[in-house]
Amino acid sequence: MDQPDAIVHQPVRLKIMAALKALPENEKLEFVRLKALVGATEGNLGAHIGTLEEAGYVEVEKDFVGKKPRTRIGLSTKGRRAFEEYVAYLRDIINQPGA
Amino acid sequence: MSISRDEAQRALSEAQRTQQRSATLRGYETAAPFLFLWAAIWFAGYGSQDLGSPLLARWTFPILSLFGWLASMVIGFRGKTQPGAHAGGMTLRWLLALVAYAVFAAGVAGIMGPVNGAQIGAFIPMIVALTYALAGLFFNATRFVIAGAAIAALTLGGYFYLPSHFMLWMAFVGGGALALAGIWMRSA
Repeated sequence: MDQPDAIVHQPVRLKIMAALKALPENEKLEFVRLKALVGATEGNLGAHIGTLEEAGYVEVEKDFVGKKPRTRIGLSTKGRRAFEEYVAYLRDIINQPGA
Repeated sequence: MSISRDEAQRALSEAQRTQQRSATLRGYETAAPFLFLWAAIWFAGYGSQDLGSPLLARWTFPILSLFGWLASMVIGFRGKTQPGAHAGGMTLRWLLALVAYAVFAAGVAGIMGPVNGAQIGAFIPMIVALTYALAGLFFNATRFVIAGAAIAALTLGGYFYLPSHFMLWMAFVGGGALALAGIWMRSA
């Protein structure tokens, strides 16, 4: 990778993807939990999730638990790969001799 | 767009910290139902030891423990939401863990024996406490370490300072501590 993936590169989105990467494949995290992990406001988090969803990096599932609405977010296979590639890109920079 | 080495280092550290925190919280959430289950088993098991019937005292705990292990396996499998999870491998791991615990407890009891009910009743929770503490230390999950330390302290406290009511102590205080630990994990 010559250039970093601009979608993953944004700090809040990187944290979102890192939090989701810790889950087993196909498992999703509730919006409120993700908000606490990332430390973003609701609006800010929602906007970044929208960007990641448009890129196909996350999957968003909305349902109801009883009468309460629930939003859950999970990393897609494409998102998982993008995150891994971005981390590898960072490691390459760190490990460059004389950088 | 180019990134300096420092920026890359910062971004990677932040990502790793978030990933670690997410994994720890998931661990707490996963542990909570097991703690509730075993809290109920300790309450019933230790409580039955204090009722005075030797038959009840002899058989209740082994039966409850077996039930608890099977129920733990069911909870463990329900937590595996992803398709294609290796159910066979997990079953084998659960069964081997049960065998390992049983052989270890029986081996120690054999070496140290003869042992009485209170000694066994204190020894098993100490193994549980050690398991929690080690899991917490190795997976960087402080709440597991604290829960393990609390279970060990309560068990030792009851065993040494309240020997005449030790079983009752473990039923209410030990079982209660497990239930509280479950609530604490779930709220993380």
